[in-house]
Amino acid sequence: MPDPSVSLLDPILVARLATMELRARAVVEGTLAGRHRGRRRGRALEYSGHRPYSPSDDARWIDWRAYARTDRFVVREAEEETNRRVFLLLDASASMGFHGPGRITKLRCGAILLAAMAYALIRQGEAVGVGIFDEGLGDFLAPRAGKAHLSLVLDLLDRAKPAGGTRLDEALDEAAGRLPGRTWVILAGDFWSGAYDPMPALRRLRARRHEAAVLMPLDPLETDLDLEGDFHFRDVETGEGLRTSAGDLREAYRTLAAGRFGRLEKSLASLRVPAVRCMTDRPLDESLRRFLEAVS
Amino acid sequence: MNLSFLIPWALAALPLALAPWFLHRWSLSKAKPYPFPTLELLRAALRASYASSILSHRVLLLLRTLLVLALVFLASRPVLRWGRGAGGGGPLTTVLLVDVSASMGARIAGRTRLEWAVQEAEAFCPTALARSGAGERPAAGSSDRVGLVAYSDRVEASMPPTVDGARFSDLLRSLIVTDRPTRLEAALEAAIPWVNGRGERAILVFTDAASNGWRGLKSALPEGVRLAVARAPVLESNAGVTGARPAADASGSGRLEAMGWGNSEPGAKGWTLSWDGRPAAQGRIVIGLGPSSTVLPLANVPPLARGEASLDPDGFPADDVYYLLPPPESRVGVLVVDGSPALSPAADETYFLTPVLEGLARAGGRFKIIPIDALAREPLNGWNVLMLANVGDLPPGAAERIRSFVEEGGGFWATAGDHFSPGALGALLPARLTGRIAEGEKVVFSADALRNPLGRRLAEEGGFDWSKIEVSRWAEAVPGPDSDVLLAGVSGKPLLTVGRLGRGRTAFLTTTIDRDWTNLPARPVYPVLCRELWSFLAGGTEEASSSLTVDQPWEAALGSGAADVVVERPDGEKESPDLRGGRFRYAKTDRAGFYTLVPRAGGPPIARAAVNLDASSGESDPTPLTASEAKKALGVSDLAWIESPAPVRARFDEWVRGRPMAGPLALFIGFLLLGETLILGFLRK
Repeated sequence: MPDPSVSLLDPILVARLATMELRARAVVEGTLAGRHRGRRRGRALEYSGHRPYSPSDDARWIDWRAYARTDRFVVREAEEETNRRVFLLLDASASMGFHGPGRITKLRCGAILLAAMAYALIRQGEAVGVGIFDEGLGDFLAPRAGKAHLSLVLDLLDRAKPAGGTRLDEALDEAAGRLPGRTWVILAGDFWSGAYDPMPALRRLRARRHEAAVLMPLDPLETDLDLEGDFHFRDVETGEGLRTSAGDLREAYRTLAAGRFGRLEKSLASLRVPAVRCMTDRPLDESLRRFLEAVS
Repeated sequence: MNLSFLIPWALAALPLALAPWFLHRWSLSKAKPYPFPTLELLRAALRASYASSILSHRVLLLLRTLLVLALVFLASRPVLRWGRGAGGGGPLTTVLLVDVSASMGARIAGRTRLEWAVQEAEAFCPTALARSGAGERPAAGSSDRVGLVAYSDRVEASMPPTVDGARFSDLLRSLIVTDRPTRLEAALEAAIPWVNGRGERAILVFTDAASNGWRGLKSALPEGVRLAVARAPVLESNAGVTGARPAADASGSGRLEAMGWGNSEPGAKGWTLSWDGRPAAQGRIVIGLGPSSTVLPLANVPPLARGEASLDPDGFPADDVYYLLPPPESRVGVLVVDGSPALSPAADETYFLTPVLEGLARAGGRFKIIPIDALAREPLNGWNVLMLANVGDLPPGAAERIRSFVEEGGGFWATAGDHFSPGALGALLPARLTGRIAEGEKVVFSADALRNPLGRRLAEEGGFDWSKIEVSRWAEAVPGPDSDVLLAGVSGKPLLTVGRLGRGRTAFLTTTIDRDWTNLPARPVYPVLCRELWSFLAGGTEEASSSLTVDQPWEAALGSGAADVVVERPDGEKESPDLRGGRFRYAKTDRAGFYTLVPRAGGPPIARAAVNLDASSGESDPTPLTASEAKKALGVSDLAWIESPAPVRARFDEWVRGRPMAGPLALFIGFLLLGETLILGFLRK
């Protein structure tokens, strides 16, 4: 459940973000000029080198001066500073509504972190889009730049409510189809996806030359099961129940949880998708710093 | 085995055993609802921790269920009973069989076994039972009855089951140790009619279970009667005199026989030989775990003096003393008729008799060897025994003289041989000749020999290997109706037969006393056999100084003019023996010691007997019986075996009334609590 006491843009968090150097690990293609280098080559804005001409190259890009000197067709390559397209994808399934005592929900945690990044990115002139998903991609805003767009992004993140199951795979597929060109997809979700394996969808996303990074908001209870007594656990997504003593399971649960998240991070790493766990009992700026360190 | 409850209504709380299960279910039903992101890991964790955690929970649930069950059982005061007759808890009829045989006199830790038995039996006094009615025993009360049978090999005293505590106690305290052996059968036969019927019935035997008294026991207990044996304290070791034999000739040496028994080597013990209460000799004898013997100096023993061979006393002093009478001075006169004189001394029929006769003369006797033709001139009334050695035809009138001599109390011994011809003597012999000469055969000591005083005497001598006697030829004979065969061939053909004729005794050896037909003269038994046979044929004295065992009747010929006699017992009492046909019989030899036959009017003793504990009955060798042996002897499978120092009363109650299970249950509850603590600790860890 969202904690209304926690505003989406924490002034302290935003202030800290202002000092952060947001640098993408990969160079993305953008529609707006910015501080990131695109890989569109051809028209020279800033010389970067020559390469042999190939038939698919536009004949306008042939460096005739070089031809005069070397008697060979070469193409002059240049890089231009471009805007980056960033798409923020927030998991708003029911499991994201979980929170331990005195802590914010995972959804709120993810939303805050994504909002902070949207703020910082838009301030830097990047194009930022957002999508909210549960059993499919729901609200969708295509990446755009500009402060007016930021308010739309923040509004969408703020209105996200935990509900329904999780179909991360479908959300990723749908988002990938709707995103123009190369986009940096930042996904905030707990990856409790039940029977649906999100890894193929991520693989397809990567195949479309999108970049991806994962913020994994988790409550400590999910990893430690630090509970005492008998509980009637209820799966918030499926509604199934389980009566048991938490203490009896704790050790096995911790081992299993550590293994599960370890394997997930390993799988994501194999797709070159950096992933960072964001524990809801830790300061958000710390989580954000670790995320930026992971992606830079 | 069955289980009964003193507070059976408490068992109504048994359903409480389901409480832990219900609590468990209730606890789960009251589990706090907790929304969780996913059950995926929880379910996997549940599967992974099933063995260690869930199983522990189930064991914990089981322990708690058992705990409640145990508490309910504890509250209902269960009593475990086992064996035949395990039934209700009504009035109990108990018959105590108290062993008062000689071995119950063994003293251990300052008290005799009988004192132990009496003390333990006091707890069964009806008044004691009534007092203890409020104790652990269910339904015990004044309606319980207790009977008593004191027994040795017979019933010494008895009292039917009663509630009269004073009578019971009086009889119990009056019991004394007898010198008699043990035979439980008589006591059981006395007790069984008292426990026939309905209700709770039990027999409790107090005994030291001296083994021989139990063997061959055949008693069928009525159905439902419970049998318990309380075994008296046992000696760790014991040594007893099992026999003492006075000097049999003028050599002056007798033999002391002792036997040791125990868990450890009894070692050397001192012995003392006393005559008429005065120590005559002392020494030490090494007693191993079995028979031992040593030589006693018995020289210069006055005639008819009585003696005691005793060992250093131990826990059972009754078997450390052996009463013995020396043989009377031999005054036997033997007239030998040589039926086969020869020029060569070695070929003479009396060649092998002469050395023995010379020994007889050294011991105070006399002898004379005459040829057959001198018999008519020789007066017979000056001799005790007439011996015809391989004699052929007798002179005229000799047979009548011999018959008259024997009928008046003389002894007559004939030996066969190649010259032997019974003729008119045939009627005098204790065996009838068939006229055939049999070939060689091994010799055995006849089983019937012990019926005869001479046979017993020879058996007492002991140590002779009769089978070494070889007889190559002998005259076949059939024993007479009133005769005793002492030695025989393995086929039963009599070799030495003794009988009676008038007041005299006769003997017939169906072979010769030379080396032609037998090697008997070369065997060690030969001089002993001759000496004892002459003494026996001389008559009278061999039974007057008898060596008997307790409860063995004392019988002997009584001289003329001694009709009014009494027997002086070891306890100082005087009793009249049975007199019949010139003989007396006294059967109440129930105490070890000396018995003396004296004229009622006073005067010198007529005869003496030394009565000893019977070594073979187990009384002088109280090797304790084991429980399994007792079960076998009694033919029961569910016998309660209570060994001292266990409290007899408490164990008996457990056996008959059942064992209160509070203690074991409390222990069980303790274990359950410990188990619960351990499992809880494991789960919390």
